[in-house]
Amino acid sequence: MKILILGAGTTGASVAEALASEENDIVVVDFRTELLDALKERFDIATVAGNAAHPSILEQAGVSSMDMVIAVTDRDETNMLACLIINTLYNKPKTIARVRSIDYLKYPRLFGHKGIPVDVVISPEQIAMQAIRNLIEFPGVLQISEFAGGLVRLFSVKVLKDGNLTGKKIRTLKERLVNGKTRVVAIFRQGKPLFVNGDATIESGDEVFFVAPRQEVRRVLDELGKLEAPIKRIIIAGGGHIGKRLALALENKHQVKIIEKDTARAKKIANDLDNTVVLLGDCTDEKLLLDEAVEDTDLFCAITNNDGVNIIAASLAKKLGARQTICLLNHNSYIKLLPGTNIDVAVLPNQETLGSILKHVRKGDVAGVSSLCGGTAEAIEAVAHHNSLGDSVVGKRVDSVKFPDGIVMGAIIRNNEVIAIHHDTVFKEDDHVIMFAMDKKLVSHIEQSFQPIKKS
Amino acid sequence: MKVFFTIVNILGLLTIGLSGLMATCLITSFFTADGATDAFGQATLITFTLGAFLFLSTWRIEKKVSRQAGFMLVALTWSLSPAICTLPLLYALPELSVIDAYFEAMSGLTTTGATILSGIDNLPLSINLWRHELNWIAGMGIIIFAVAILPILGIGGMQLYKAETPGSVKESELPPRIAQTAKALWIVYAGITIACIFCLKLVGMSWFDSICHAFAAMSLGGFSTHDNSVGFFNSLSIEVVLSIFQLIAAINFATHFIALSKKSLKPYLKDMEACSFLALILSSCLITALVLTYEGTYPDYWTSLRHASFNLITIATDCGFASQDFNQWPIFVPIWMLFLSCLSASSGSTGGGIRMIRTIILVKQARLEMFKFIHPFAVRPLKIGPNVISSNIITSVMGFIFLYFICIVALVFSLLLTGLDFLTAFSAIISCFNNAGPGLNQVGPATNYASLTDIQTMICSFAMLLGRVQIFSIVILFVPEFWRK
Repeated sequence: MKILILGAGTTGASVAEALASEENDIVVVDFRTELLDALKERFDIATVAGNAAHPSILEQAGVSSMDMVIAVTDRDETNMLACLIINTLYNKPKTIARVRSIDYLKYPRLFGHKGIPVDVVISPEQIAMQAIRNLIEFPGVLQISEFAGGLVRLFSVKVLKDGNLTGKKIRTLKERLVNGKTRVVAIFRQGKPLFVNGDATIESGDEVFFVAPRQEVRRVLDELGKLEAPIKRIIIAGGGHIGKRLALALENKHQVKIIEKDTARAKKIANDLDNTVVLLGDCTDEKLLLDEAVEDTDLFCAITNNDGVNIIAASLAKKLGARQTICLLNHNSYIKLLPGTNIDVAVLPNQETLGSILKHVRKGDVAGVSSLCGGTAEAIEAVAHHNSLGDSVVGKRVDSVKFPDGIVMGAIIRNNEVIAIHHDTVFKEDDHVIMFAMDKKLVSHIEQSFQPIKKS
Repeated sequence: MKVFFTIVNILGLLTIGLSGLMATCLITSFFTADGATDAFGQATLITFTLGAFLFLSTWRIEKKVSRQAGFMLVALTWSLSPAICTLPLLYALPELSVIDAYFEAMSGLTTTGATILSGIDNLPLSINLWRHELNWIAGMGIIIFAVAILPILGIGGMQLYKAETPGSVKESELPPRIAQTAKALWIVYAGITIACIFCLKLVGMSWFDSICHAFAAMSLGGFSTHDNSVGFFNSLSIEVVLSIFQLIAAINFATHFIALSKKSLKPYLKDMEACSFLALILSSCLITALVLTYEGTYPDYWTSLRHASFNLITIATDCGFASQDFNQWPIFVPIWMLFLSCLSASSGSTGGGIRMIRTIILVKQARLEMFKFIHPFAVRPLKIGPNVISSNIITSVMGFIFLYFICIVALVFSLLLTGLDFLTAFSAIISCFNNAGPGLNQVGPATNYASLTDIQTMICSFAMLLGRVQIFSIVILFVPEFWRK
């Protein structure tokens, strides 16, 4: 696949990284040559320096032969304009654009028929915010993502020493927790995936991934003894785009405080928020945190744009007694630091964004991708189709489909309903199948099995 | 000097306008043959001549208006117009002293409604009409003076609009040009007045009484054609109709305009002033009625509610009718009514006092200070609805309220100095300063301001003037910097 990436910022770079290792031809455009040089050194890609919305630059990048354009420059306007220019002057590749401003996102018609030709609008702030909101809705959960239009959720919990999962085999779990619709898809021990079969034993400290229908999530958590008291008091460290939107979404149902370092920004968000206490100060300032009763806080979200500050603030808050802490990390590599801290949950907006971009790059008919565990593992929602080569899953029984070790079936959705998976379940056309791939390299096997009818 | 001539020119125009107003009374007097025809004839002639002279003598001179001129114009208009308006009273009632006549005219033109005349029922018809016309025209003046007169000179005039109606936060939905705004508000004001006239006629008043009382109610002036004010009619339905229209008049006319043009009641819900005002009045009515019942002033709760509501509404909105001698009520109730008169009326209405918007800002600012004790690092703006109130406005509101109380204290002391008893002095100043009307004790609803000495009457007249022009416009004239070039 030939892919043009506009913008070599954090998102652009991580998209390039993810796609370059998957046998795609990638061209990155940015006006910052130093960023392009750094990218070129690390990956096998081509780069063009210049304004991403100028036709001459786009031509240099070979726009007319591109299959897909991913516009992720820092400016919404550049992203939208580039898509418009490419669609008007050249061929019509698939376009994905990042749009941050609520002012544009408020009008979905803008990107619809006759509007700006953007096939997929991605808003990382929205995605990160949704991830945090999910975690607030299900306190105690480490990661949660939605599939099949929200019908199915994939979530992970940490196994505590005296928790009722410790020392159990998955086979015995099934009877109590699982009715064929809820399944354990993966266990991570000290950050490394374990091969999951019925005999695997869960130990304390493990992160266990479940796939469950939406309405079952609460019951499963309850069964696990994981359903904690609802979250009331929230402190948000960092009043950026995500912080403000999060506060707006939460302030009417929760007691929200938001800490912002910049005076002008603090004033601005204080004007826009009604029920949130806006505090001017440093979120790593112990005195400020104690003054604001961090020990009685149910959730502390460190979501400034500085990863270091986030890690420090979240661990400090946890030390000072916050019940749960969430930490936002823009650099995927920092996630390796987390096991050494007491931070409960990390949210990686780049990864979330990557997931939503990746599902459009996949070869098979993929409806959803969630990048997990720092990008090493992936959960995929694929649609089963019949194809002429005979390597499709349609018509086969579950136990006759041979996936390599490391791919685990999570759920099947047929006609918008989650159906139980048994060894004799037969795949049908248009089934949505949710699978967990412990290693990204295994993804190509899934793609092959869910390839729609190939072009001859 | 250009500024001086400009002011003279505008005052001339205003005087001509007043002579036109007098002419309507002259015509009424002529057709009803009430004996005041000569008085109005002379007054109209003199006023018109004076106005024409002032206007024409400065006609060809280049006009120039500055901030200072704006303030001087406000001060001069509100202090000189009553002088001109005394003319018909002086001619028709030879026994009336100049100071008393000035008080009466000032009371009319500041929509206070305190009267110094006794035997009002027997006054010539046209004199009563004159008093009520003063009320009505002043009410209109309060709403639109600032936005209608100055544009004639071809300038924005916003500096005056600021001086008159601070805290007006709804500019966005009104017509963009000041002249259009003024016209729109004028139409609303006149329209509601006509509705009020018909409603009053419908519930049993004569046409003349309906017109006079509608004028007094809509301007929140509170003059009546009877010594016993609304008590004369002793009619529940009249009291209800007047109460409703007084409440309407105490709400921002811009909100009425928006509600009428959108044909929806939602603008009232969005108007925080109106909501707070109505909630405050409603709860006050219920509570004071309870007090009156408990103290045995009236035999049952419903009678108490009727009298408490009407008198409370009329004083709280700064109108100043009366249906009962509330001077005889348990002291809590009339003092509470006077307290409400200080803060109830909305900005952009015809009422006086601190105005609801300033009260809200003050209360919110106080709460904000408390909040900052608990969260010393907090950043929190003062918001009214979705609008952030800038700290400049808050400071100027606090400055206003400080000045407001200083003025009341100073005026009460000066009345005490003249030998008046405390309750009379206090209630008279509160009532006059807020342009409400009746006070307590010597100046209570059963009596009037006639018993005051000349010096006391002058102090009360000054209090009305000061309250009407929102203090700043007069006090600023005494600040030395104002006169420095």
